[in-house]
Amino acid sequence: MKSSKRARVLLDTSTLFSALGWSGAPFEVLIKINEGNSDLVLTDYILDELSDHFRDFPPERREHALESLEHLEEASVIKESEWKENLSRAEELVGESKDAPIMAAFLTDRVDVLVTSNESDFPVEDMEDVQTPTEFLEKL
Amino acid sequence: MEKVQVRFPREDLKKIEKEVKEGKYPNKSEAIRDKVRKSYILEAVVQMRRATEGIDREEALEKLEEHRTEKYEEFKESESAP
Repeated sequence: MKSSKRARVLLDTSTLFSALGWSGAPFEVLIKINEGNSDLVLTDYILDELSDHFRDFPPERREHALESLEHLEEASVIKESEWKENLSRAEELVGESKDAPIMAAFLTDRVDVLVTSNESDFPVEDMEDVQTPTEFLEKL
Repeated sequence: MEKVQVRFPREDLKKIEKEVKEGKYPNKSEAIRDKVRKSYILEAVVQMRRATEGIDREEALEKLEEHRTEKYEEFKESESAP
């Protein structure tokens, strides 16, 4: 397992969206990270994915959603220049799929744990580092 | 970092001092900085809840995955463009 003093936790795009928008396990994960000894890690690509997704929202909702993302910029954000170095390796692992940029960020030395509802989409050597929201909460 | 002078209610300050004493934070400044950072996450939740109010989560997540696939295809195209 990757290790650092405070666990640096990357939420994949759908887990992050779910955590922000609805109650449930992903939301609990976000609250636990915020309360405890973990740090939230995001990527510029994930924020862009969400921003793109909100283009279909009615204007007033879109405004709130984009404001939400602005607040998230306070989290630790891995930039494309950092994760892109690992993109080829990530694509070998997950194929040329929408998850490749997330896997590439996970492969940087800035992430300890990836929280995703689709563990099987992220085949890594040490599966302890990839957790569902429920597993993350159980391991606290 | 910039220095600012802030007035705190005595009770709030006591709580912060207690957390410093318990070793949760190295000093009052770090405690306050951490609390400000955390408040941004909570504000992000508040804003997103306004945006998603009444929207079905599963439908929204399904649509998100479609948009993610489109974005990745655009990203790969831009990567291969001369």
